[in-house]
Amino acid sequence: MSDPALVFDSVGKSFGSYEAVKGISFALERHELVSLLGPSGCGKTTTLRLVAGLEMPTRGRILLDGADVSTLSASQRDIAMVFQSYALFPHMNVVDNVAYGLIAQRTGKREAHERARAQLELVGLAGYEKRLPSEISGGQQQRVAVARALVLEPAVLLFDEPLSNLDAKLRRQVREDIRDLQQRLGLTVLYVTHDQSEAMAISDRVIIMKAGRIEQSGPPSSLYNEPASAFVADFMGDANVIEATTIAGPDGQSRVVLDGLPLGTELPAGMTVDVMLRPEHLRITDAAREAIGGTIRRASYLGAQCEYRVETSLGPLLLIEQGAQRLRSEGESIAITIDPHHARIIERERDG
Amino acid sequence: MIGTKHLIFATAVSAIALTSGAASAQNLVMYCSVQQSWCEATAAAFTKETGIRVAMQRKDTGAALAQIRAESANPQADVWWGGSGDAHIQAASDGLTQEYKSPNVSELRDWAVEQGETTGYKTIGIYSGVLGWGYNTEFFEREGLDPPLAWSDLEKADYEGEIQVANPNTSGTAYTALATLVQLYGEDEAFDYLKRIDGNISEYTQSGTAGIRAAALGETGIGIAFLHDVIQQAAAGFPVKAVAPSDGTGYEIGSMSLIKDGPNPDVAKTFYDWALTAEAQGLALDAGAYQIQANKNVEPAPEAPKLDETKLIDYDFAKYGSAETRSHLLKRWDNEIASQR
Amino acid sequence: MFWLVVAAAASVLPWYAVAPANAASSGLLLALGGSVAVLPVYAVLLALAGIGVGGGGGGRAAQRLAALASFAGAVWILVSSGLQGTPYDPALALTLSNQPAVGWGAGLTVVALLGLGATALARAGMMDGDRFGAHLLVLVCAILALFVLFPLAQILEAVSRPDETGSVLAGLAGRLGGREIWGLTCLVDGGRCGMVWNSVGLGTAVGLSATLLGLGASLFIVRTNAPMRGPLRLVTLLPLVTPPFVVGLALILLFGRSGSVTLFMYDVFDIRPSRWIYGPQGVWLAQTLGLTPLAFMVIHATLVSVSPSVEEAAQTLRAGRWYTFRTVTLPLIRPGLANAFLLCFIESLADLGNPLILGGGFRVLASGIYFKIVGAQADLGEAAGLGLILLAISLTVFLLQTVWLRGASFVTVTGKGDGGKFGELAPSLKLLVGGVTLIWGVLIVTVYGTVIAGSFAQIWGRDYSFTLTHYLDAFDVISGPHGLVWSGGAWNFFFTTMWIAAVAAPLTAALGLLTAYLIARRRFVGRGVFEFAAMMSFAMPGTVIGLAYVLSFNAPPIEITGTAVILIVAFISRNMPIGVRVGLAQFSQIDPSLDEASTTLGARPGMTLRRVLYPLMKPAVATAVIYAFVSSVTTLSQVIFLVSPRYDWATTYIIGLVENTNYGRAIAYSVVLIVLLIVIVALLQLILTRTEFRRVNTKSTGETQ
Repeated sequence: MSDPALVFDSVGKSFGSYEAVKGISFALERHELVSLLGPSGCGKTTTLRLVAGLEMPTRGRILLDGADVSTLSASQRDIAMVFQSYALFPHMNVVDNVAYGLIAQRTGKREAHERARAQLELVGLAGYEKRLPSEISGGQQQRVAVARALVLEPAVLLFDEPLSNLDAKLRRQVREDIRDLQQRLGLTVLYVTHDQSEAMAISDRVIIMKAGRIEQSGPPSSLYNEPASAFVADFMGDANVIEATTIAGPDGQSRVVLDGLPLGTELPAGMTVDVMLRPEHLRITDAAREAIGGTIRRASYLGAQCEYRVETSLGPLLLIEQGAQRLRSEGESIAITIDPHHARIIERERDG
Repeated sequence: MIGTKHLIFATAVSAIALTSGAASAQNLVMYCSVQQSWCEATAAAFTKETGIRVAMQRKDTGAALAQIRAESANPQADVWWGGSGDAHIQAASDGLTQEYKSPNVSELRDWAVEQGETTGYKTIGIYSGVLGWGYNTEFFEREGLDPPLAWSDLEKADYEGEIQVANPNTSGTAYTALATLVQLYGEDEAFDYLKRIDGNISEYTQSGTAGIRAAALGETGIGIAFLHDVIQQAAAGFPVKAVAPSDGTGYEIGSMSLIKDGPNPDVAKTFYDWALTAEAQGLALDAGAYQIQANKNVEPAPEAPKLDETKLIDYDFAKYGSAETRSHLLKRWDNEIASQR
Repeated sequence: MFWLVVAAAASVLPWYAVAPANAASSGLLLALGGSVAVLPVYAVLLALAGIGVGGGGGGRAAQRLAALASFAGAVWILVSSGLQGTPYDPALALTLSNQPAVGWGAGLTVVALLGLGATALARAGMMDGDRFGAHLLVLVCAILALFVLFPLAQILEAVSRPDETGSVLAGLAGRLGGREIWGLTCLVDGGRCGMVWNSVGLGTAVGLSATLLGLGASLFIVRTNAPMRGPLRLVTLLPLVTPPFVVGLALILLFGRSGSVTLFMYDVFDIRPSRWIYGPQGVWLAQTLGLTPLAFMVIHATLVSVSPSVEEAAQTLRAGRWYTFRTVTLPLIRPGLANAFLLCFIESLADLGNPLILGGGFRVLASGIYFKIVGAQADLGEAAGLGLILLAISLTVFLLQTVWLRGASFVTVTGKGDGGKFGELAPSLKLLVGGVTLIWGVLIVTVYGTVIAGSFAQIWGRDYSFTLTHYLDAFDVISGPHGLVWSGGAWNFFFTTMWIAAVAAPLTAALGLLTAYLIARRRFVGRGVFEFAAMMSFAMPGTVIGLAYVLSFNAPPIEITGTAVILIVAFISRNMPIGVRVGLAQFSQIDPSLDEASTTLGARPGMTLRRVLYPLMKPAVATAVIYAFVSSVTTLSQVIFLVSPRYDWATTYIIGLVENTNYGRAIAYSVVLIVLLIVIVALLQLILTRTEFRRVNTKSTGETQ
């Protein structure tokens, strides 16, 4: 296996006394699309800008294609970036925008324009060459921005929340286009987003960041199903997080008991833990045994599913019932069962 | 990156080039302290005559002296032409000007040569002017007032707020007036007099000629000035009439000096010699300057004040041009007149 | 490497401006001859070449040291001879304390050392290693240090010199105290007040009246559909291309004792002509007329940035028109009003022309400095004292403006066009606004009508017959045996003014905009201080700059009095802040990701500036160049101490004519100047903003001004 396309080796970045990125390490394999996911202020955009060379690391090393580029400026790195605002040059037409990078790297004007045209064709914008950015739609602008980055055939292509300026309908279409293009051309992509579903839909791997650190990384499914923390669980979709304490069970194995419902765990007894339950893993049952009683406080009908906010002795729980024919009414008393296999119990984070 | 460096470099180089290229051309640089029109006529005639370009700046006498003093470390001008003689004498005694005896001195009248002799030819007289005032005839007619004919007349209550005279700190004319009054009345009596006429004075102007200009335009009734300035206004068509005070008055010897270590000493001497010729001095009249010219061969204009018909005091230029007397009188004027307003 | 070559080339050029007697002239020979002044410089240069700055050797610490050494070398060249401020005496031997001013060799060496220092700083990691940025920063800092801070220090030095008795305290007290400056007798018995109170009082009055007029005119133009709004806008811009004292001159022609309005009133209503125009009220009127356009522009910009939807919201909440105006609109534009007031206050404080021709015995600080210098007593120390006080007041106001107003911008424009239409004004307010604007418009038109008519009248006030004499006197050409003689009195001033302003304007704009670029787009240590220093000279009144320059550049190390350079440098450092301001406003409108996109596409800073930022900055470039040009041509206070017979200025020439009551010619020349400026401004506008494009994706924070 060849070198990773991109390596972060204990990279940190401080702005004055504020540490935006706290010494993170990760690698990006070739032809892989990796998302950086996290709430705003988590350091994901700074990380992306560190890759681009728009920020210089205060410590650590960044390797691009095996070479140390930590001190190189953005214009000297073999990367390209698609900006959140697209950053199309408003005074240049579409083809000049796409050819800009080539000309900056001393490609002849004629050749640059030829390659720019070919790239525009690839993203389905043939015929729009002479338009100004202000004369095409938001989705088209986005594709011009992608073409402008792609034409340089960069070692790593960077996306900074490229969909946030599009409306919901277009968003799904464009993210499929990006994924399609990435797989077709075998691109290595680092993709920043704060939208969990976008990250899950598009990525080979997701890196979840929190407060300048990597919280967890892995394929979308493992992050969803085996979150390492309440934060990840909550960020990757909806989760009910219940605080509990482990106790020693009769069989020697420790467990937590939720409203009389026992759940086994590997953790030693006497610990404060978080029990994480996905809303779709809670079931409404008729039997009152081995179930948690509750009252529906709010009921929402969403077509494919019904969503309930239920008041229980464990606190408020979110519950999703799929394929239901009718919406239960608010105020109705129900019983909820928990599938022990889907409950995830982890040690409670100390810093909350 | 090199491109940017070149840009910054080129900027720096051109800045240095501008600095060092400044003093290359052979021009004449002149401060001129007479009226603008005469300054310009003289400069243009000299250029026409010799082909030497003249960079000329008009400055009031006091301002010119201050400028020359400020520049003494690195003089910018070659010649100072015109302005009250006492300032030139002061420049000479401060070592700001260059000794030079032009061959044309022999063509000059005695009072002009005397100016040179008292300073070791560090300055020379080029014209003289008599102190007095001008009054606006239309205004006096309209108000039915009698014109003032002597210094003592200026005290009349009729003239309340109608007299303008310059501030002696900035104006050679006004300083001449102050010195004249001190020589006429004695110092204490002179200041008493000044206090008495203070109520009649609307404004102590900065420029020596502002008062008579204002009188010409009707902005004030009376302007204390040199008579040639009054006559110039009258000749230009303004309703002003010149008065030489009957109880005696002072006068100035307008002078010219070469500035020490000026950038173009040879050209300066060429100008100096030329400026004393009858031809150059004859330009005054056409330019509307009615001073009495120093060159014997230039006849005074018929309108010009006649020195022999005026009661002149024996003006002590050496004493009242000296820095000591000057600053004493100015300080007293500041304390007793200016600060009491 | 490049800079080492420059330094090597400089070493064979004459080191000093004047070749010293009995010594070699080039830097290299001087160093070999053991000159104490030059040797350390070459020691530094050799050391720099040695540790391979040119090639990039050494770690960050070494680079930091190299930068320090380079700057020390540059400072040494300037300081070694100049601390005494004594002129060079060729009769004495060339020693450390007796050196001529900096010449080609030394000047270029300073530039090379600064360049080496910048390179080393970039290598040491400043600005993330961006050499372009580092060079720019060093260049701007050097200019600020040399041409703003150093002259300021000279003023302080002149103020704190000991007096005749040798006492520093007494010297300070004499120059900074005194009844002439602080007196309050005007309050008791109709005496005169000190210049400080005069200046502050006048500034406050002018600030208030100009702000009110500006507010009225802005409301009239933005919020009414009255006819004549277009022409009115043009008229409001006229005073900007007018030398400030021309308004005062026109007021004399109109309201002086023999002015046309005065005489008309005398003939018709038998109102006895008086001299009321001379004094504080005349200066106030002239400054108000001259400065209202400034207030108008500031308030207008704030007013259009108020989103109509907030007013609509107020009205849907049952607020009446007057109530809406009072409780919503007015508070929203309050920062604009405060800004306009402070700007006019500063400008009034700095104005010299109007107090000079209309002040009579009423003295303000600016004219006080002038008389201290040109007066027979010529006391630079006392002038410096007044300058210091004036500067302190201006800087305080400027600080107020920057600190106090920074957080106070209530701009309501959002990225999305908010839509909506401005509501009608309350009828009573409309009437008031219309009336005020009308009076102002009539005054402006009268003033300019007078100026134009006066330039063709034989003698204004006496003989109104048509004549071209005034123009001919100023702009005549005769031929003599030695060729054409530009005999008109104005030619000399005219040519000098035009070429010097034409050289200074692009330099000023470039430096201002590049400084804005550094502030807006770069992070570096001390950026806040840098920004303040770059903006500070805006608050330095022209007379103070002039005075400081006379004190600073009349002796080694930098001897430029009496040259064109001192004028150019004065214009650059005084007008640069406008370029910075305009640049900052424009940069805030340009999404930084545009330059980042350019960089990630492989473009170096130079290309980004040229291909991306310059085209987008064109409106700002045009504004900065035009402003720099116009304000250089029309300034009086700044040049009055710096002009020399060889490099004289149009405005000083005109004020000289005015002082000699040669009004006809003075206004003829002013008319030529105004017309020429209008033509030039129009041309520049046309050339510099040819390409139009619609902006897309640019952030609109809607910053005003």
